[in-house]
Amino acid sequence: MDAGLQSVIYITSPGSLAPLDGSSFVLPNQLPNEKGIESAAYVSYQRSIGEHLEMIAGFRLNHFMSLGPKLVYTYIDNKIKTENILGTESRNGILQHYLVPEPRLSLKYGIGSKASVKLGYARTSQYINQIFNTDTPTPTSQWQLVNNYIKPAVSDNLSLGVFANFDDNNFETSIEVYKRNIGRLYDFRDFANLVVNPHIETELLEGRGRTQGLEISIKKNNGPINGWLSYTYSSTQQKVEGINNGSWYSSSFDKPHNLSFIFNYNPKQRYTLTANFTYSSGRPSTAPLSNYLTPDNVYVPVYSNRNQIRIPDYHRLDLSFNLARSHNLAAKVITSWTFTLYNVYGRKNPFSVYYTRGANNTPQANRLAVVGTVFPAIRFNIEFL
Amino acid sequence: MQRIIKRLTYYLFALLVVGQTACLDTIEIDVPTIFKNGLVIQGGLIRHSDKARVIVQFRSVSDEKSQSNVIRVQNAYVHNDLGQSKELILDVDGFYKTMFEDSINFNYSFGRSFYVKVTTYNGDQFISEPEILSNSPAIESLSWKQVKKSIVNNLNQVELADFVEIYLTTPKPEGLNYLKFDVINAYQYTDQLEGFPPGKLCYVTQRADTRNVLLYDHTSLAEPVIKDIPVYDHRIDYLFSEGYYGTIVLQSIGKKAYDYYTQINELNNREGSIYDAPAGRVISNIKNMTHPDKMPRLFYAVSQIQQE
Repeated sequence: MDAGLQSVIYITSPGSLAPLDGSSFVLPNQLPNEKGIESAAYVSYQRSIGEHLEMIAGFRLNHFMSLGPKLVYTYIDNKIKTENILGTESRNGILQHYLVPEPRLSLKYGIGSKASVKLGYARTSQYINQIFNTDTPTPTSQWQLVNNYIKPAVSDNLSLGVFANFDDNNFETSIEVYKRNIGRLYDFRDFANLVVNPHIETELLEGRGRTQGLEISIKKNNGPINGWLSYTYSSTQQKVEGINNGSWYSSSFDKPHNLSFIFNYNPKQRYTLTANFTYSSGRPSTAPLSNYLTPDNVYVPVYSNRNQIRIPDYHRLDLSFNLARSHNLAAKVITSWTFTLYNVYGRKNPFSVYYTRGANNTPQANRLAVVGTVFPAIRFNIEFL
Repeated sequence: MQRIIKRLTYYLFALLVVGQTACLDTIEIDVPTIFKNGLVIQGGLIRHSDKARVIVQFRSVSDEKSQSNVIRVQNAYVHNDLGQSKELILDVDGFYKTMFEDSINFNYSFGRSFYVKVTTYNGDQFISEPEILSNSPAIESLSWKQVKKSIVNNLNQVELADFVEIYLTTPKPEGLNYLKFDVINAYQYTDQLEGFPPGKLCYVTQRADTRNVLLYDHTSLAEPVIKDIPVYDHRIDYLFSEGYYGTIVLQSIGKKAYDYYTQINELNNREGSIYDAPAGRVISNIKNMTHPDKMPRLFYAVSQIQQE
């Protein structure tokens, strides 16, 4: 049996705005730091049941306190909208606290010495969210702590997997399915003002989410040819009243297909040739797809539903060749050279896609690729034994 | 030493590659079929003095991502909350309108609400949410001043240009009304004013539209009159000079209409970069009753206008 206590202090800086120079129209604005303490007491119990079954049962009691001093906005009838703002109250001490019980259970049934079936359930809670305040994920995104109005995200996770090794553990294989229900999450409303907004709760809408998927992997450990292949199919969706007519839609991080393949060829101890291939579906995006002309002769872009389209898929092949000196048992230092070709076929994988006006005022998608061509590199490695 | 030079050469090469490869290009995004030939509706009831008119425009969103096209509908009606209705008649392609000279057969008093009902040729029926007609406050004062602003010229160079900033004051509107104020037209006077000395060029932020303009006769200082025909078919785009005239219109609109215009304005002020704030679909108060999933774009609003 294990038991323990844990505490984490969060201090976030939601952001500031500052004019570049005297000619700027930007008014300086600095949002105060936000503070919170997450504490937990947990207990975990492990035991074998019979010859084949192992069980780990646990319970974690999470407690989160949102701390002042802070200016808290108040709203008419507690309806959190900009037009309902009544005023602000300066509050100190504990502004709000949340208590979340988190049970968890893991069962492992051994089939012989080389295979097992695992079943797991866990409830988890999250007290900090990353809010992207631009069209595409950029470093200007902010971390938002749970507070009076933004509540913790609580999710229930269930997984079932089969794991098996073959050929004297030379091959490791697994297949696993999982499902997660997220009881509460937030997404921003259309035309949200998320930059240095002191009442950001008015820009967020509460909803729920669901994730499910299948993971398959195979790994070869020994021999001159080794490596692994893994594939994941997943679906991550959310449902928020006020977005896409309250229907389920893809989350911003929904990438249904993920494939990873690593191939090592090691004919002699001195040489290793490695090929690494990665593929993932393009992430969802909200894009202007067309436009129309108003009677006032204004071109208005027509946006898709939230996250309705996808930016192009990401895939990349890297090759590397590692050349080491002959192994000297007495040596205290081992050196080697690594020659790498990154992005061998020069794929212009999008770091971000954003939209401008093209010919006839039509929306034009622009792709920013950070390394859009083959990129060679040479590395010298020193290892002290 | 040779080794160091070689290594530096490699690093330099690597840096050059990185510099060359952070690249930007344009791509095509697959357009979901639901967006192809989507219906666009915009219209409104506008009351001016004792008269009123309803104009509704229909366009389709082109699947070629080009300019949208005007379309015709089977019928279009305006209704009030007293159960009265009147059919809108095709004016020019895509535009349906009707005029009211008095309230005898169709009451368009302040405080009444109005909505439009439209049937397209494929049988879909669209209905707007009722909008209440409110009083607009009178324009108390109107002034303008010339300012310099940066623009991007045809050569893609930034240059300072003359702009006109217009200032307008009104009494505080009654109730929870919102106001919209616009330079709706900028046009040059017709033949009788030929020879008007060319003035210094400046710009306004509105494109000229000579359809149904409100003509202000500055020579007689008479009251504005509504003209149903184009005054002068000369598109001046954003160029505005002495000798050109604009009409300042003040409208009283509802909260939802205010949000609609604000969102349109926000979309048109986006710079187009990765740092743009999240946008979204502009709100609409028109619903497709036959196929609720095929949402039309745009808006039906009612307003009373004051103009100078």
